[in-house]
Amino acid sequence: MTRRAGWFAAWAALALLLEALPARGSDSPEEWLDQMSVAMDQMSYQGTFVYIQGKSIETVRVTHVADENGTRQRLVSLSGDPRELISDESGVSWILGHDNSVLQDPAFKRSFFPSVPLDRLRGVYRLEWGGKGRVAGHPVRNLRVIPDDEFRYGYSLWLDERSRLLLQWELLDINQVPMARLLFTDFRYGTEVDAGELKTSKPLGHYNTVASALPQGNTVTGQVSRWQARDLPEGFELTDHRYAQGEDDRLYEHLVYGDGLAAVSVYIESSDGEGVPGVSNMGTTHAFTRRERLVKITVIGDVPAATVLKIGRGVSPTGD
Amino acid sequence: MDGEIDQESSRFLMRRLASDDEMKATWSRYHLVRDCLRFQDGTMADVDLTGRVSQALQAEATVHRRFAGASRWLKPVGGAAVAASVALMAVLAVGPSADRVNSGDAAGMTASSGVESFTSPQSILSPTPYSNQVNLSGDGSEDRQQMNAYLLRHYQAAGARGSHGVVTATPIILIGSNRAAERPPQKDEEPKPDEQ
Repeated sequence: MTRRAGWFAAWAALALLLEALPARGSDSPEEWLDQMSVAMDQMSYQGTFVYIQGKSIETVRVTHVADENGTRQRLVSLSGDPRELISDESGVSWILGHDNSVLQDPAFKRSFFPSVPLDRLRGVYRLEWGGKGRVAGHPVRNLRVIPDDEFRYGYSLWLDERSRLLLQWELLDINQVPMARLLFTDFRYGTEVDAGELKTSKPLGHYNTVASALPQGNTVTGQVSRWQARDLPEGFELTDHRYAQGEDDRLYEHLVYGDGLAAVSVYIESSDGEGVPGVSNMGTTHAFTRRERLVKITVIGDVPAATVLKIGRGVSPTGD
Repeated sequence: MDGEIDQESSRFLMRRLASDDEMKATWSRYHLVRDCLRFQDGTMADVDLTGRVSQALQAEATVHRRFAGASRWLKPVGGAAVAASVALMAVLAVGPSADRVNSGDAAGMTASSGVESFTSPQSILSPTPYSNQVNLSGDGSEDRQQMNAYLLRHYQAAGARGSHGVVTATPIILIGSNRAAERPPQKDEEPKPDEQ
């Protein structure tokens, strides 16, 4: 038996084990949230969902497979222009079909068992049970994650009672009014998943490849960064740090801050240009950019504008 | 292996496997027995799942630090639409006299992208953004391409920490969802009544 076949057997056992799990054990919302995080990463699932934000309605097909080859995911737009997003252990590829191009970025180190840091959530979110219902034919339970301040969004989550997979998601503003909604209309998991759908509509080599404009950088753990965000909203902590300095002395630093659910990236890059500082948004994702000392500072996250602004204004060299 | 364990216990077990050598050995033996039962041709399974788990966890804690010359700066080589897609982002400028977020102008820009803008929750911060059609990307394509790269890497960073899975990736796939709306009218296209 080959090594790959051995891996397959092990992963198959794990998949069967996860799939066969009845909803037993703790009924606390914290445990369900943690189980959701693991299930969304470690289980195989497939389905079609609609994403509604403002007047826009998009339909997307997702295939997520976790097996002996690692975790792979493919998102395909079913409305509008053809787009695909493929991620695996080698990185992420973003295909824009109408331009026949693909933007590629090397892998960002994944946590093998992503887990929600429940201790950190307690100070900044309240977790409440909602009602029960059905989504895409699956019995679900509603869990509401309510922020304690205006620096993060809230979430209303409908989790499959059996697998803990997320079947409906709403992003809530500070008044708990939905700003965006994701709803599966068709959903399957475990052995029902067709891994063949991971294949792109045509081989990646047939697209014009666009390499990332960013250096990959090296993951820095336990080291003091050269730049830091000094004014973080409560609950946000540094979770990842990448640093690179090119041969031409150009700087690239990527700091990732998170509160356990929301994540914000801070990019510091050498820049000779000038520009007006400002906040931009794409849907519910906000970005803030300003320049200081020949570097450009950009803060991006699926958080309110106030959050990227607060964090971005507080970014400065560690020596200051 | 038989599906009888509950979900909580399975997660506990997998974490325990990562650090308990004796349990790893037991787990591997059970798999070996199971594989021998399943495959009657006498071949042996080479299952070392727990070793892989340990390696993955150890790798996460590994400190990597290299400085000058350690990385190569990648350069874009093409793909106009990739470069242009972040032009869909509505841009708001920061102004000292503003006291609230106004999505007016920005909403118009964003609506053309098929991704609707919204009014952010009012901030206690001052000054807060107000809408102004400032071009964040200056002369365009290079900075836009950089913003695309930022977004893509942020998605990876957020996903790596186990956010909401598919939800984390969704904003990326929505960029450029309705490119046709951005296109200037073609010669053979009649303007719509509201454009006249």
